Amino acid sequence: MDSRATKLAEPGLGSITGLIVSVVALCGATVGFAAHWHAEAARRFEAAHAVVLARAAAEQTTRLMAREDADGGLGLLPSTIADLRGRVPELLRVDVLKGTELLASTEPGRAGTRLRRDSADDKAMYDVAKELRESVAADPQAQQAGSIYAAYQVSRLLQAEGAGVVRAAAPALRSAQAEATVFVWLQSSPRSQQSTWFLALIALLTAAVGALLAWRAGRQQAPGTTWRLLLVGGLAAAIASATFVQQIATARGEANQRAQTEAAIETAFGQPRGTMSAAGWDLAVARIAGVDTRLVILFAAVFILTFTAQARVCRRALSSFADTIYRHRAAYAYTAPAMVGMLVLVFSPFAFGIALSFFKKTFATFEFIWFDNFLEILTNFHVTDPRNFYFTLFVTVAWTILNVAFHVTIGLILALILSDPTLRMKKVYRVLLIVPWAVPNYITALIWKGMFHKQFGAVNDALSVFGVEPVGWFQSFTTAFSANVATNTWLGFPFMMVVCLGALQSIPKDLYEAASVDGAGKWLRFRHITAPLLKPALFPAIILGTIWTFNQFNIIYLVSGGAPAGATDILITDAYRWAFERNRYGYAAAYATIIFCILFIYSAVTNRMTGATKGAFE
Amino acid sequence: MNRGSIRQNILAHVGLTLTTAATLYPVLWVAKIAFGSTEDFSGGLLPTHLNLGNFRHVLAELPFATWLYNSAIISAATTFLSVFLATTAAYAFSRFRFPGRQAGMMAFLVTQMFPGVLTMIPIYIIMDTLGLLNRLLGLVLVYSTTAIPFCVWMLKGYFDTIPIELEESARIDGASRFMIFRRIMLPLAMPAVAVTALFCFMTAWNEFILAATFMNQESSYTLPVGLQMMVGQFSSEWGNFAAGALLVSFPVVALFFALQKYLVSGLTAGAVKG
Repeated sequence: MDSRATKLAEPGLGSITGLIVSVVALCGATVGFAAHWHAEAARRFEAAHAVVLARAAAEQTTRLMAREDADGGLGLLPSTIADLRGRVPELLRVDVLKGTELLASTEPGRAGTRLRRDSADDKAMYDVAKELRESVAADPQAQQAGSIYAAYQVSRLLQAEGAGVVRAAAPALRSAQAEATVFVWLQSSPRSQQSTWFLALIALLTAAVGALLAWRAGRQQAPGTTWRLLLVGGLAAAIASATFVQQIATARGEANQRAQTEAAIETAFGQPRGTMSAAGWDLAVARIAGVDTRLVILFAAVFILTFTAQARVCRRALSSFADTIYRHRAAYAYTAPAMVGMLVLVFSPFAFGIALSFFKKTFATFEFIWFDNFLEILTNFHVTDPRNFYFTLFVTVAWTILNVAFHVTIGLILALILSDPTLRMKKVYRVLLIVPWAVPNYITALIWKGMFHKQFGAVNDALSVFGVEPVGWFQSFTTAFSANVATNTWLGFPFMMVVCLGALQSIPKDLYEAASVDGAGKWLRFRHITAPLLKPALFPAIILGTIWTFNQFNIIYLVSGGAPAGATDILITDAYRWAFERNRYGYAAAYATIIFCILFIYSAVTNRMTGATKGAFE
Repeated sequence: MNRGSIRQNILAHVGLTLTTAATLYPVLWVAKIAFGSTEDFSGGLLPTHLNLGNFRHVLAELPFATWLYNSAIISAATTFLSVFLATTAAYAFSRFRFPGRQAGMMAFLVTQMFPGVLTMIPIYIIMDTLGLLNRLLGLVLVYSTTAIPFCVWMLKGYFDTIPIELEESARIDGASRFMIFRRIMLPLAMPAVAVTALFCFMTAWNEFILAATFMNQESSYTLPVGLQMMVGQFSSEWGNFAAGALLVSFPVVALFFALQKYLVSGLTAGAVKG
């Protein structure tokens, strides 16, 4: 292809950054709006929960009214609603209205009075009660679901005003008539919908300006401005995303809590399972929520603007992208299946895990706390405490170095002996020596735990032959640590042995012969021929072995189990305990992120020093 | 043979015999517990009396067959899936030059450093969302993706050692890419493919934590999870555990030995070349 033609086809720097700005900002805007709508939906779920609670109270009222004739059941009404209020912490107030008379109320002095005409609040209550009565009368089959829906619809009248409080109403039925109406006031959790709205708008604006700039940059370059814009758009996108993630997590937690409250009420009031649950009709509620059309139009406008203003750039970028894909289609086809799987099940959970390290989980809600988890881990210098990060790090490093040293030494020595051509029964030895590798490692761990048992274990049994008192292997740090190391050494040396054997086999024999002729002894031959030629095979194996040992969960967890008092825990088992035993997910995620960073730096440094993977990229 | 080398040979044999004995001891000890009486934990290797009660208990009174079935299906499917994905990806990494190749390989390498704890919670959420909890397919997918990076690196190293001239001459003879891959590369790379398959099988057969996390119905347990349930505080359960451990280890050890002749060449060919 003519080089000038190629040059013309390349889009300018300004327009490309402009395009990136727009795309990033558009993503930010999308997330911002999504967060907004999500908050909106969460608000509706909360309203649904309020209706459920109102219905619970209404159901009780219905029952009490049915008993009225017998023993004056309505006398129990105040205590019933007080009970309900006691069970649901977020419930602020309950009123039961019949006609214009308040049968009961949790507000002091309100029960027994009539609605006041001069109060706008009371007027609204009267209107809602009336509408509920009518909707129940209009639907003679006003049973569970129907009346819930009606109650929800009507309750929306009550929600128009009052931030921080959700209100709902439900009819208490008597012979298919709405005899009384129950009103509930619920504490609503604060939501940050305003801020994401704002962020989304900023992002949209940035996208629009970016689009215009990129369009202009088709003629003249303006990278300076676009970079600054990219910063603004990216920041808006990032904050919007963080808020969104937090919202989703919080909403999930709230949903769990709601479900728990509802289940508790079902149990307390003897209702069948599931009848008092908002979860069953959440979907219908979400559908009512709808979408703000103004936002959709605005969004679509900017979206179209972005891509029409830069149609040329887009086309060029797309076509060069498509061109690359097409030219290397075979390679991408071969790698795509593995890549997709890795993306879904390895990389995205990893990213999610790292994101989790910036959150704090309290009960069921997640709170974004920036770097607090990391600071808490790294700035705690009580190094003698077994739970302390630096203490555990020291144990982990000692554990890794000792193990890898043993693996390599034993593996190398065995390989050197086995590679002696005059040795007989080589194959038998080799086969028997790789047994530990073949046995599943959790079984190995459990076997060794049994062998180190104080009373029955084989190790103490063997020691008793020499007159040694039974050792409580898991009672002191040194012995527990040694037990772990012994187990892992047994487990890991065959791998190194096989790697060394393979490498030794590939060393040409005439090198040794030539060296012998020149009078080199065993040691000299090892130092100057074997060692240098082993290196390329051994270094990657050592790096990999180090990483595996560093993250060797099963042995520590199953053999010593961290005993005594978590002292022999290494970083990975400690992280597991933080997550699943002490239930601090965010903290555990931060822990694991630090582990990853340590390993990453370690491999980057060793890789640069030894060039272990250098050949692999050629 | 002179006297020095004979003495050396004897020394080597003595050393190897001792090491082998130390290596085999724990395995034989477990066998003793499994076949012996459940209270006999002493260091000796001969059971006081032969007793198959542990095996009978494990096979008859526990849902061992169900767990075995689960593990077998999961391991077979994992092996098949990850060998398929890893060979194709490794072939591309070895033979094609394309944008993203280095990044892709680096990304695969970096996954080896991901602490499992970090990804466990997110994977749980993903599995939950996809409705794959308590389903064999879920574990197959997770195990395959865990096994792929190591397999890809190993196979790629092996493919690199196969002379490209073979492929070129096949291409001249009119073979398509896929034909070359299937008819030339795969047969030549058999040692590495066998070792890869062995690793995938072992990954799936031996994995414990993820299975324990994702499978919480007894009918969907895999062998490791079921086996772990057996180990309690009481020594009588140790006998059952030992019997179970032998039964669980047997297939994988057998497979290991069947394929072990490929182990040395398959594992190191790529690395040595570097």
